[in-house]
Order: sequence, then C-alpha cells, then structure tokens
Amino acid sequence: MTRRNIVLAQFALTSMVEAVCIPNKWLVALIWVTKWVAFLWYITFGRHDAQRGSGLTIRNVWGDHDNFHALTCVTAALQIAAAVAMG
Amino acid sequence: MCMCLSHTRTPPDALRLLSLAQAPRGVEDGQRARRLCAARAGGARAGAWSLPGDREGVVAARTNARCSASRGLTGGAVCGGAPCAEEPLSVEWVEWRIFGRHTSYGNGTPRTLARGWVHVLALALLELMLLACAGRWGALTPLPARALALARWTTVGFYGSVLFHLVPWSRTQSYNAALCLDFMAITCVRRAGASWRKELTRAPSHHSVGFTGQVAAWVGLLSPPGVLSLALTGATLALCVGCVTCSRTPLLRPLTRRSSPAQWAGAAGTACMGVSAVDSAQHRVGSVCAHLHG
Repeated sequence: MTRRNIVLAQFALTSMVEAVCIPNKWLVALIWVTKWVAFLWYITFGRHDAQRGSGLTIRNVWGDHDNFHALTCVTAALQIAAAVAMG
Repeated sequence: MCMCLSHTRTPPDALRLLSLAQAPRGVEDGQRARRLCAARAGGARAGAWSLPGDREGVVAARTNARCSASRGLTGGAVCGGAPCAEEPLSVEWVEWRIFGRHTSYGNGTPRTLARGWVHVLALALLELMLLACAGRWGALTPLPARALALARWTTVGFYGSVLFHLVPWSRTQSYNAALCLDFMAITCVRRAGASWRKELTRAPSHHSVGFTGQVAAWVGLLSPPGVLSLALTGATLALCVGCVTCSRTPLLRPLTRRSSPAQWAGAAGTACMGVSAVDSAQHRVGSVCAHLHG
C-alpha cells in the first residue's frame, strides 16, 4: 500500500460522505469536480515543477503545482460553503 | 566542505552520480561543483543561498542538496556509508532570511516563487469567513458547532502547506519532516497531548484534522467511515515515520518532476513510495548537469 493509494482512498471516502451528507447536490457536484480535477492534476503534473532558467519569468513564479494549489483552495471554499449550507 | 565531489578519495556514491554526466563535461562539472560547494560552505552564513534570479545560487543549492543527501540522520558526513574526516556543511535547519523567497527546497527540488503564497491568501479569506460564520461580527447567523468544526478542519491542511512551502527548510532531513507534516495535515491525526480514550469520548468534530476530521465532522469518528478514515490515517503516519527515520523523501516517484514530459510520462506507471537519497541525488545531479549543458 503506497501513500498515494492511502490519500486516494481518503479522497474517495470523503467524496462518498459528502455525497450523503451535503444537502445541496449541486454543491456536492462542484466539490467533486474541483477536488478530483485537482487530484488528477497532482498525479499528472507532479508535486514540484522544474524552473526554466533564472529571473522573474512566469515559469519561475507560477508552476503546475500552483494550479493544483489554486484548485484545492476553490475546493476548500466550496466545502466551507457546504458547511454553511449544512448549518 | 562539500563531501560528495570534492573529496580526494571519491566515494562510490559520487562515482555513480558523476557517471550520469558525460566524461569530459563531467570532470568540468565536478570542478564547478567543488567551487560551488566551497562557496556554499561560506555562502550559507553569508546569506547567498538560492535567491531568485541567482543562477549560481540555484546550482549551489542543488549542489549542497547533493551533499546533504549523502549525510546521515545524525548530521555527520558519510562517503559511501563510511564516515568522512572532512567537516560537513554547517547549515541551519531553516534559512529564515529567505522565508518565502527560496527557489529550491531543502532536497534541491526547484520551487516556484508563488508556491505557498496562494495558501496564505486563501487562509486569510477562509479565516475571515470562519470568523463571520462564528458570529463574531453579528453579520451572519452563527453556524452550529458541527458545521463550524467541518469548516475549521478544512483549513488545517492549508497550514501544513504553508509550513512546508514557505519555510525554507535547508536540510534534507528537515525538508522530509516538513513534508510528512504537510501530508499528515491532509490526512491527519488526533490532537497532540490528548489520550485516545478522551478523544474518542469527545464530540466527533474535535478529534482530528484533514480528511479524517472532515469525515468525523460529517458522520462521527466511531461510524464505519470514521473508523476506516482513522485507519488510513494511521497507515499514512506509519509510512511517514518510516520515511523520516530511513531518511527517505516521502514523495512519489512519478510526482518528482522530470525534465521533459516524455520522461515523466514514462515513469507515470510506477507507484513508488519513497525515493532514496541516492536516487534523488542521481536525479538532481543529472538535472544540474543538464542545466549546465543547457
């Protein structure tokens, strides 16, 4: 069992729990899409991306893993919205 | 003094690393690495460690990471498993002067400058939302404790990421430990200092953070999903502890960036738990050589 499989299992588990518990199904769909796109991005483009050259180039400031981070931020915002909806 | 490449009796690991480069250029790289290692030994104290736009600094940081990778957990230098007589690099665990500005992680992996700052921005917004949802400002109806706990645990993983990405961990060991903390913040464990019995008899939402905390907040930790989540957290913790104690970087091999899409696509099928220090060093020395050739 690798750590990736464990994280994947946790991901699937929380997804199932969210589907059952969050009252708003549109919110569930949004959370699912963002978190699974983020995960696929993560396993596809890598945890760290190499810089190309030096200086303040786009590639040195923002990389593939930063896209993953941005997606996880959106997921977190949606999950907090789900918490508000649950309340 | 750098141990990997500058020692007169070249250690076996260094020979393996050097064999990755072409012979004539490899010798040149070795001389360059010697200069960089020597510069690095003084540079760490002078603050010349891998700042943005500093090409030499980036290479020096990676060179130092190669040196750090050959060190044991005790901090003493080793050459091919045997202790070396020369003084190892004296590097702090954290280079606070370049907080959030470093271009390489402690193991030499490149880092983009925005890495981690997105989480700071998101955390600021999420914390403001949480304050509003907690009824601090009277603008919103306070959320029930269960919903508030769910929202709270959602943010915890972000703190782990900030700790890992913004703090310039300058040793392989500290990098590995921070990476494990980051992972554990995602999947995570009970509060420190509390007994399991007390934890299990408290409200479910107070048990843990990350995925397990979310599941506990939704359905309770003693429910089947909660127990399963807790078991997965335990397995993650065991793997992380194993990585730290064995001085392995707990990264997946396919997730370490390859220099070209074809290379990482070729490795995407392998799901490897840990990358040994030597394997990492081989990858890095290859990257450095490619960097120098380029």
